[in-house]
Amino acid sequence: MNQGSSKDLETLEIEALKAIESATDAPALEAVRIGVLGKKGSLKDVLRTLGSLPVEERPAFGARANVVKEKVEAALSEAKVRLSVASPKSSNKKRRLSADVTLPGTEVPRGSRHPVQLVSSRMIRIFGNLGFEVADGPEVEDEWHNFTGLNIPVDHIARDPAENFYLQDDLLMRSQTSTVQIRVMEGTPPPLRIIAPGKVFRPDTVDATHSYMFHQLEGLVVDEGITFGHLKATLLDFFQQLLPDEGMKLRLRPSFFPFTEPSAEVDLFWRDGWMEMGGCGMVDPNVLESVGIDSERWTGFAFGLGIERIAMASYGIPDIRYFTDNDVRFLQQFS
Amino acid sequence: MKVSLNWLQEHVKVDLPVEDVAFKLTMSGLNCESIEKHGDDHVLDLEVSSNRPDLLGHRGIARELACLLGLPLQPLELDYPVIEKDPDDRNLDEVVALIVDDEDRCGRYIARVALDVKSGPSPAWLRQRIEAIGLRSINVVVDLSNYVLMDLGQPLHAFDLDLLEGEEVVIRRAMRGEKFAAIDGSDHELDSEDLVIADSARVVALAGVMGGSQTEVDGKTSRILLESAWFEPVPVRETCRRLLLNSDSSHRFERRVNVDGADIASRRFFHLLCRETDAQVLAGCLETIREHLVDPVPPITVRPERVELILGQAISEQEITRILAGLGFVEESQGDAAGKWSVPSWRADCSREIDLIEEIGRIHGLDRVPDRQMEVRTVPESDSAQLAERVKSLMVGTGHHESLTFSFGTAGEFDEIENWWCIGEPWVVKNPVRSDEGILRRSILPGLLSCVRGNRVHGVETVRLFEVARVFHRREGVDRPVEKVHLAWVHSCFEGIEGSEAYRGVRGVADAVLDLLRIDKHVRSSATWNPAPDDSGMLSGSSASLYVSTDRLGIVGAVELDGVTGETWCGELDLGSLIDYAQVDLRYEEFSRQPGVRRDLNIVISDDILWRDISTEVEAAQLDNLEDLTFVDLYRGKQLPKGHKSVTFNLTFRAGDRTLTHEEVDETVQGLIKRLEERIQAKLRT
Repeated sequence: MNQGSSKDLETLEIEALKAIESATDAPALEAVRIGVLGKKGSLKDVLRTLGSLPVEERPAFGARANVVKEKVEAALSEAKVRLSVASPKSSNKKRRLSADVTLPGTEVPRGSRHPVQLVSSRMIRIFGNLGFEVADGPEVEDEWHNFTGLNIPVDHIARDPAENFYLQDDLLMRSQTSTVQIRVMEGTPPPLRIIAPGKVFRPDTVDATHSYMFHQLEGLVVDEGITFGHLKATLLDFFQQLLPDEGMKLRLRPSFFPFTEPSAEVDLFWRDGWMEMGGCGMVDPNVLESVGIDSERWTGFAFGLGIERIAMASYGIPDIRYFTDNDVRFLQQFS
Repeated sequence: MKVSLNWLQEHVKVDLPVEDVAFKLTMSGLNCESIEKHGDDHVLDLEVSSNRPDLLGHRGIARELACLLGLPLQPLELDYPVIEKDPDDRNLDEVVALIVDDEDRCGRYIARVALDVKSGPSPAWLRQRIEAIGLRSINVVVDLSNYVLMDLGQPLHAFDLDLLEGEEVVIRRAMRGEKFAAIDGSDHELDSEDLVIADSARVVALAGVMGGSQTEVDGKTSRILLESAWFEPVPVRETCRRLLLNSDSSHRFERRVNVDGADIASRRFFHLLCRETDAQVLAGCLETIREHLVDPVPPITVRPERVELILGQAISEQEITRILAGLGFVEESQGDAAGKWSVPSWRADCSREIDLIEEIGRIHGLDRVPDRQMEVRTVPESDSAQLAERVKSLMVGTGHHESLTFSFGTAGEFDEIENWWCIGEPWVVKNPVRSDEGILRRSILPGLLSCVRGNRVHGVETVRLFEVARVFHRREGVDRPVEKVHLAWVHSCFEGIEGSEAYRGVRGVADAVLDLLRIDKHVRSSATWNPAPDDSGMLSGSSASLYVSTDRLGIVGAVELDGVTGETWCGELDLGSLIDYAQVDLRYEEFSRQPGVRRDLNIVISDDILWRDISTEVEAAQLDNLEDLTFVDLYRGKQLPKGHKSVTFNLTFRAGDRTLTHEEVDETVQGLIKRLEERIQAKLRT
């Protein structure tokens, strides 16, 4: 008999849940509810057997019955929701509201990325697709990483204190992101394919196109068999993805940098003229040797592109100072 | 460098439109910035890179052009007639003495003398050349020295020999305080670092920079001494910078002129002087040259396969030979050096095979090298870079505009905020653009706050800015700045908001960042906020600092911005360190599917009881089945006893294995209320 009571509860639960599940409309569901939970329902029937149980078993049985009841109730209310959603009939009974739907939406606070960062992120993504990994180096550098390792001799004009922001002897704000080339090559043997975006500092007089702090993106590849032809293809791929435009042209014009040879300026023809976007070239053997890389076996190329310049060209920003004014009316245009 | 096309024609017979000449030169490394018509001549403005002083003269550029076009370079005539003795029967070295006191700075000095000079106006051709490139014609002697300078890139200077006292030329350091009147009319006080040309009485020229007005050649001049020299580049540059004096001469000396060119230029001058005037040149020259001034560069091997490896295109040996020979390199034919290339004296920039490969690439045309694709490679993802990007997205999503401020600037208004982050002297840039702007920032907030002020003053009523950037701290025992990546944000608006609510707004940003980085999950409950000390730079009573483990990694609070009404709240986190603490691995955690029971409590407590006191009490009570404690609201008002506030919070209870009854939860809550009454004198608000 005792066994029978627990079993009854179990059977009741299974059957009730099955019936709830198969109910296809509200009246059918109501019939199930009355059949199980009603005054003359099956649960009441089972509970009537309570009195015949030994006293010590009664609480457990009661609790078990409560759980069954809660489960059935939960299933009923779930089914109610299900039927009301499914039934086309009941949708006619949906509440009506009277919103003025011609009102504008509530303003959600919307921020924005800085245009220089937007361009920088895009450049990182495109070079990422070309197999370049992001590397990093300090913004305050020593002369070894900023000059000596880069084949810039001691009496070179680039080292002149008036051309740099020195903190003290042998410590300066880096004047180029090429410093990261040396840092990476010191720590990692070739093959290498990295980019390093970041701030650089030069004491230029501030005007519409010059600032004393700006951003560069440095690139470096060192591998066996790397040629100037690879440099050309890489930069062309990059600019075609950055500025998809049929009229865009790229040319590498011979130039001079101490840390590359041959060296070239990266000239971009876009919209209405040629613009200098940065410098590039084959890594000078002296640079490779300065970090202990065999320049007979390994060759490589490097480039440095001005990020502000690309941002100004792509967004039509006329003055580099707008980037650091941080006027909200300027910034919010890039949200 | 301004270059006349007609002038170039003296050296190479070019038969091309000027635009084509400009393009050829541009694509070989001499960028043409402009072309101007000047009578029947064209003047090109060419950009000469610092390693090529040989291109600071027309002949050097003509040599490039000849090589590019496969044309011959015309020979340079240097001969002139001489007389052995002057009318007083004196040789050159009896007429004037040359004394070089400082060979370290004056590597070579050549002096020649001409007599019976009548320095009248220049002939038409000379005037045209000089004027085409923007110089003023003065007299034939001065014009010829300028002509040779602009032709061969070797500065020359003619002294009126009759105005030199003591018939001697001394190259020495200036005495401190010595005066010098330059030919351009400027007066200077010299330093012992300056190299000068002097006679027995005074300074007559600033070596490599400018001649003096007292020995200037003019219409009355009859005897000249012509200087052609080689001065050390760096001291010339330093003198120029110190005296704020520049000239076509110093521009070339600073870039290292050709040592062999000094004699050639001197002879070229006298060739032209004799051709154009009746001047008589005294035979011989006075000359000093420092030993080992130039160490000869050993001849260089060029391997065609190496040329191909660097450029990515095979260049024939015949083409390699044509290019190098055209630029003046000489292929050795005998001995050990056979087949190697000797470097001409004017190409001090070339000493290695790679230097010659560059020459080959440049003249062949880098634009003719075919593009070559690199092989495909995948890039490993960087967790910390991605986290930083996600933090920035969060800031944008919460309405902040990303800003960009300078890494160094002025000290002032917000020094306390900077000091809070890093006590100790800031790092300082020695020569900032403006003298007061050299202090490397230890905190981003001061820069961001000044942008907020700019915006508010311009009428923007609500300003939300953020920036992620490096700051520079000083740490004992580290001899360079410790660079840290910080995140700072500011919310400034016209209307004031109740303090705690505004605080919660700015703190909510910090909490969201901590959540994103899952700091609390990693170092459980060790991220805590404490009231910040009064010297944190924030308004007293507005500010809290964040500790993770024992590191102080952030601050939020309000600041007073002069001239700005309303409220300005801000925060800053040491993002780099937080990212180091971040838990990046996602892992599913089992949760209870049992129904929970929620209880809202509204208590009245004394104003000096903080939320943390309440939450600590709740935690300490170790309530059965307590899942969560959430702050809802804080209220101060007239309905409450003086010095009191009401705090509403809710408690969620849930058991892992069963449904809780309301009775047992109520009992637990009653226990808590009793505890709060006893411990923090809280009263239930009804």
